[in-house]
Amino acid sequence: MCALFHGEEEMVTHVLYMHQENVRHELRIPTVYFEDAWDRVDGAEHDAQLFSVMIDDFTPVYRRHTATLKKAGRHDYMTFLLQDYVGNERLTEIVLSTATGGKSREISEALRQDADFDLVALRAKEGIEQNKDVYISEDAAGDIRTVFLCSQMGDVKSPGCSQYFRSHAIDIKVNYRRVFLAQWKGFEIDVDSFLACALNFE
Amino acid sequence: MTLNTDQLAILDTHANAGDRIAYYKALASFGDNYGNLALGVTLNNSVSGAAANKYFLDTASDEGQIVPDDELARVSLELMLADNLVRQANFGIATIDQIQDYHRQVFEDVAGVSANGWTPDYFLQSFDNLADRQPAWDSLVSSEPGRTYTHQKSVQPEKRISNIVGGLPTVVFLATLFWSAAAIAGSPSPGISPAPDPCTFFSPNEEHVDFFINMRLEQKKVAVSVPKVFLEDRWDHVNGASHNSQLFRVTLDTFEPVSRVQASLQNRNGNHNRMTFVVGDRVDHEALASIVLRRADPGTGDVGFGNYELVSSEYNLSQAVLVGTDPQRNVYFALGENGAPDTVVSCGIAGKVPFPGCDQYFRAFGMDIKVNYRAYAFQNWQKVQDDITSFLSCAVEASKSKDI
Repeated sequence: MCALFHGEEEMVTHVLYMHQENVRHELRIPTVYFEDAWDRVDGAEHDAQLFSVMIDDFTPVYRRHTATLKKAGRHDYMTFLLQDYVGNERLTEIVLSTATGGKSREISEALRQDADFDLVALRAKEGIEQNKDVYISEDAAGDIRTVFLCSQMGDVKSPGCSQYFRSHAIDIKVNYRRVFLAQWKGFEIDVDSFLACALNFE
Repeated sequence: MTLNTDQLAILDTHANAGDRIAYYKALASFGDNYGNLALGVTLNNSVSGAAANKYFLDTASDEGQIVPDDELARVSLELMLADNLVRQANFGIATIDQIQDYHRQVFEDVAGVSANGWTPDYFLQSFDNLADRQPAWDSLVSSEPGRTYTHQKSVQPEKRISNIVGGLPTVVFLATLFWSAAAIAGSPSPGISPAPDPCTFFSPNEEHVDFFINMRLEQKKVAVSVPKVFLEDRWDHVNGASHNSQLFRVTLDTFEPVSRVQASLQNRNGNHNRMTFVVGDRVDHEALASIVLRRADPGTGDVGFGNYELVSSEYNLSQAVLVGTDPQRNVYFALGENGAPDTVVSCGIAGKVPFPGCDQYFRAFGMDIKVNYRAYAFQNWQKVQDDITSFLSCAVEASKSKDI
């Protein structure tokens, strides 16, 4: 994940300002990850930062590349957004509400079902239509570590998943095609490694 | 701007009811002008809204996707739901990056359309920094039905809209691929061999971009005309634009353009046969020499160029005898007749850094140039300088034949 952090790569230093927590993180990132001029400005303060990378080797994917990849039938890329959002409990309520048109919000009222990939599915009570799938992953203490909102297979052309978690005190949202959901743990490890390189520089 | 609990509840109600018009009207009434823009797109009754819809459908068509009306309506619905989710989780705030992110997600999920489908990218990407981007965005989202964008930097709004609606990106990328095949194939070259011609691309058959280097310190502009193949990004393809500086990346031996992606791939192959150079405006060379020496010789205070002893060095250069105990870089000068530094070269020291490189500063055709390359190419500093000077000579001459 850090291959481009070494050698003679041009680097740019950003400040990510998390307004809810009122904290700033300084990140030093290879310029090649940014396709827009404003993202290549040293010292700029951003309130969110979007990256797009290939899933297998974390090389950057520009917008124009996505069209070419799609034409080739390839979907093995993902985006991840560094940002600031509410805690995972509240986020799960919001995600549940989004999935059910506001008819189910409370985590405690949702039905829990074991799902693939070590995830727990949250289902609305019988009688409530749910047009997106919600999953969570909990730690040993029962706290929600990761939240997922996925389009349902067959509902849309190219179903995708959003995965929310926290790494290095930064809130992360990752997007990818649903067929890659099985790799969700790897995505967290990869983003975590990337951020470690971006945050720990001399 | 943040929204209060009541305002968020109103948005949530409209989103859950699937009422896009009420949602965006409410958002606009709370003072967030993004509501106005999105309303124009939803109703297809503003210049920006109609352009956004047309551009999305054109992109879909380019990518072989058919988007029937019901699917377009689903896209619109999912965008509202995604916007609501972001705002509910973020006290009502949706940043540009967050909005860009959920557009990419919804376009791909619902319609199978790539990230190219979001119109504002092709408007916003022409701005150089956040200070320019934010007012451009604010102006964009303030476009009420029947109005058009009002913010401009260096290009007329009409031109921006025509850029937005045009379908160029795929062509640009294919051109980049052709580039890649040629440049990545090149193997590392320890020296600089056969005489390159930096003006090879200045042929009448090559498309050129005419622009100005804005020399802010000297308060003048230098007109240049550069083959488009040297300019990777769309914002650099704007004729008549003024740039405070312009970056080029070329191979050392053949002076062919190297894209960022190519550079990364070359790195993986251990190929460092390239240099980058920035054309812009800098302080005079004596002041620059002092700055470079201060970085190379830390802890010695501001000794200044004139107080350093210079000794004869290799490659027809003079080297500064550093006085500090912890030298970080070697500094060389090519001196003019009056003893002033015409060229300043600062190179990393092997063993101090893993991949020593050199920064070389000189002036040509009234412009200041900084060039960077791996230290192994230092012996060819004069050749590097001559090549870039030739390149700029051609760029200045080419501009004289045009009225820009």
